[in-house]
Amino acid sequence: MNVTSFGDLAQTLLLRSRTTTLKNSIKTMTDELASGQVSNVSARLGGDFGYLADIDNSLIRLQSYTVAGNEAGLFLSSTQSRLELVQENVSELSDSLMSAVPTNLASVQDQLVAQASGRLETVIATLNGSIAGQSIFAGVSTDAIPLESAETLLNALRTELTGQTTAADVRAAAQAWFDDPAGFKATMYTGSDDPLEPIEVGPGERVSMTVRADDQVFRDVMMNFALTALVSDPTLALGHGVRNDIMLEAGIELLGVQDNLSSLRGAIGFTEARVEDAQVRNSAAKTSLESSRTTLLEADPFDTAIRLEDAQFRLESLYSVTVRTSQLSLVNFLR
Amino acid sequence: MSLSTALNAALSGLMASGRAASLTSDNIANASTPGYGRRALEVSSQLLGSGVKVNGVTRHADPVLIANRRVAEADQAAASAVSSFYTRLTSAVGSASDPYSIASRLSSFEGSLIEASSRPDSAIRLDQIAVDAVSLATALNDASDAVQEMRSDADRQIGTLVEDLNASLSELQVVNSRITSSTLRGASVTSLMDRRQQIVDKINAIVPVNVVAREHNQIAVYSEGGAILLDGSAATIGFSASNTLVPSMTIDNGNVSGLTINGFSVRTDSVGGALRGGSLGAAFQIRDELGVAAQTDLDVVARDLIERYETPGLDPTVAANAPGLFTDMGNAFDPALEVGLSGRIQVNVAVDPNGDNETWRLRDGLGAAGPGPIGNAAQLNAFREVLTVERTLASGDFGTGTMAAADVGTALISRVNQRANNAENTLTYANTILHEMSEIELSQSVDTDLELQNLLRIEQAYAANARMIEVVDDLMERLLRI
Repeated sequence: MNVTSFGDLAQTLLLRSRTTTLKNSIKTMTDELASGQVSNVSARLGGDFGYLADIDNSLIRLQSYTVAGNEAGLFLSSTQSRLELVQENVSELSDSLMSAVPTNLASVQDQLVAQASGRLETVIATLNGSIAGQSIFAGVSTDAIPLESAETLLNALRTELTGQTTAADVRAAAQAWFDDPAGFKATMYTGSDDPLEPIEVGPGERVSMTVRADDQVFRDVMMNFALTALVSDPTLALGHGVRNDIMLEAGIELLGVQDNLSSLRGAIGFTEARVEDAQVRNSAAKTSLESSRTTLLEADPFDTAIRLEDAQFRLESLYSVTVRTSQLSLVNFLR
Repeated sequence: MSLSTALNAALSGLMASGRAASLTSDNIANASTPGYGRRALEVSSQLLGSGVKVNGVTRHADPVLIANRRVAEADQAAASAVSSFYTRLTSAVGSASDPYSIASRLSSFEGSLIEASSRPDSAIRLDQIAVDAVSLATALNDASDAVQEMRSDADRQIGTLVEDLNASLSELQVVNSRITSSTLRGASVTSLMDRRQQIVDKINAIVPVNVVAREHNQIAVYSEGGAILLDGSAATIGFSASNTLVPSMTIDNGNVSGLTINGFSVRTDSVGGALRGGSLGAAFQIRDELGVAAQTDLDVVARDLIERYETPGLDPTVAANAPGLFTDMGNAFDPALEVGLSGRIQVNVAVDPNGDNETWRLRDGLGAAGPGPIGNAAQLNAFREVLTVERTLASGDFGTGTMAAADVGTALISRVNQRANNAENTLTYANTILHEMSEIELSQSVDTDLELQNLLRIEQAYAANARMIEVVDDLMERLLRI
């Protein structure tokens, strides 16, 4: 007998599998709605994670660059403010010297000597400064204090200048000592000969900070200050005219030094501006990468909510159909 | 005479109705039994005399529908196994949006190098580099271990499946011969055939089969790959399980077992294997193809990392062939020992937080005699730059172009996730097909409404035949009273 019938098990299978599918789909869409991100990232990206991984990689690196940039900026601004202090001292001493010299009054001379001595100490203290535990002017030995005390400098220079009588000789001897690696550098400088490595503050952007306490410009400052401080030293016993000559020449030299300091400060300022630009660029890049990432993985909440509601409705309909069909059996109608 | 023929006919009708009723109750009782073939009564009229003759019981089972469903079921079992392998591999390796993926850990390592080069004097930043490096090496180790664990699981599972297969085949042989002997005796074999169908279904999930009918209700069973599993007598499948698998144990070098059928070795690969296509084939595929490929990919990433840090001149304090920042268990890289490298990659013990913890060496060189100037960022910059160098990979199949370290990490993640995605799609497709085929097959199963309709007719027929007997009895009695 060939009767077309539809087996019970087929009906059950159909209802069961449809229920499971709908429940899974509701669960996925609830996840997507709650997290705002699509659940099946693979399907969204077509299996190629290159772009997304690149974004993530760049974001992590930008974060590190931001930290490095902040630290470089801090270092540079500290450098700049110390250079400003040094320049101030230089200009003030220079002004004093130029206006007061030549003088015959011992008191004026003494006052200038005292000023020079005091300012020398200030300059050395400034160059010995550090920021966040790093010495600024000591090269790679950022844990070292680059310069010995003003006292050491004056003592060493005094020894060196003993016996010189004319202004020219004194000056030449001092210059020789300051230029000699076995002289100033060996006695006074305790930092490193290697400058700091350039710091990377952005992709491919490096800034270098290579100012050291034994640079020519600082040596010039210290030499002129030290010479002025030693003019009335009893050990040297320099003549009255010699003292005036030395002080006048120091004052003139310091005018030239001021120019050098200005150009150094200009260079530091330029580097500071570069660091700031890099930071701005990094911040903009970060924002745009984050927004690309969100767009890439975003699950539109309105669309998801509509589909979720639709699935819920279908599940409810399926439940009521299941109940009804289970009641549709011939058994119920036989007596 | 005509009265007695009437009586005989009625009696035969009663008997037929009784048989029909028992079949109907059998059907209704087994309405939910999977593998049950709906019984129907074959009747014909008597050749000599009158009445109804019961020819036998037919079992409704459409072999084409069953074969289709079996194909779908085997595919689904295989797809499911492959998909779980990839799901597990993806969780070991990570996906792109996962902050602990291998690619992300590599990026973090690079980031900590950048931050340390800004403050080389900071011990905390140097320690962070070491921590990130260890985290990266550990991720590779864990991924490699996961792959080998999955291979070991697959090997174990092959052992279990082969045991099940052998047991099912011998049971099948027994049932098959009983069916034949019962058929020859003329007894009913429908329940035995139900049982036989169930056994073949069980075998099919392990190895997809083709069933060929032989005479006297016997069957012969062949695998899709062409091996004879049962033809008269059952084949015996041989396999020896290994305990734990390590990367160097592959089927090519004979360190793991293949299959034998009746003592002869057979191929086990997914293209030409004799028992391919079902969960057994999938387990072999995982152990010998997918697992090995995944291990190779991980090893390529590990190799790239180690080789970058063994670049000559990168660290002047380290000798030419000495180990660099990443080592192969403390040794320099040896191309002959590439297999399993990702399970052995470690951070150099000198800077490892769990080793000597001399993280100042990251700044001053791994072989330096003592700490150098603390503001020196040159070596840190060099360590960082070597990650961005574009180089060609000497092994693996990530491509022939040049790649930076980050690209290699991304390629690994992309590949694993893409394969996982494909496997999932295949599984979804296989599930859908299986569902459809099952539904079609089950539409031939017992329909209780139909059985109840039959029951109504049987009731009526029985009542009519009984009435017939009553009437004939009555007539005979009247005759005897004459």
